[in-house]
Amino acid sequence: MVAVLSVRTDNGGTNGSPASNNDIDALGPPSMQMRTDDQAVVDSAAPVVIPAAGTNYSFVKSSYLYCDTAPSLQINNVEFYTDGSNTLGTGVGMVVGNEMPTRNSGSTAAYIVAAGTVGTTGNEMTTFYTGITGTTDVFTFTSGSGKSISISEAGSVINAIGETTNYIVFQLTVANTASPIAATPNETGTFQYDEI
Amino acid sequence: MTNPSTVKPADTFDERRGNAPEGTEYDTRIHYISIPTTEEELDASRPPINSRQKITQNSEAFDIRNSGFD
Repeated sequence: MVAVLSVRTDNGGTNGSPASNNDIDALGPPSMQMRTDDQAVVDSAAPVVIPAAGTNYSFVKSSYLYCDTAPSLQINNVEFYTDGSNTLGTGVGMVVGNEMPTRNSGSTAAYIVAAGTVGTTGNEMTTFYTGITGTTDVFTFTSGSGKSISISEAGSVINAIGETTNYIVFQLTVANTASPIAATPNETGTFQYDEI
Repeated sequence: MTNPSTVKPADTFDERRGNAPEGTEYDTRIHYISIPTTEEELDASRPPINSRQKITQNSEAFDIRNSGFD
């Protein structure tokens, strides 16, 4: 059987215990909106405030691939990539945590609640997300040269409903060189995987 | 008994032109190949399941949006 996977984010709750997991496929088309609150919605609320100096951030998104329909045998070799071209606008970027905190069908213990000042800026992820010590510009990951995504299920594969990848944590960065705008064009993120 | 190291396969020399070195001995032994016939033998001769499965590369794309900048 061909597997069905969804991109999800964990939100709210407390460290190690998210209040909800949200299937962003339901925000058709599948959408992950970077904003200055911890909501899995798409609307015009909660923009990032452009700082007078330095950089402001969106709240982090603790995302992962979730198995809705199991494959015949297994899924592995998961990678994340973009088109390699940042069209988010001057001074705006997006990063992904270098490390992937453990998430699997049996544990969300490594989950850290998104933090920041609602409506203004999120906290930079390496300052509060335990286990993440560095970030990388997502646009350095392209098809054929993606970010390898780890799996902490049995055998390091996904082969049953409810199994997931580890957390892939995203964050928008907004420098003081950015210009006020209602929203800039969407970018596309892609998770690719081998299925047997 | 023939020393195995001196036995040459029949196609090593161009014996069709009759120029094989004098005294050359040819390996005329019959070699048997085992062909599985029973279900158990057939199963044993198959590769592991993982290597028989076809791997497909699939993907899940999503929009990266923002709610603007003030």
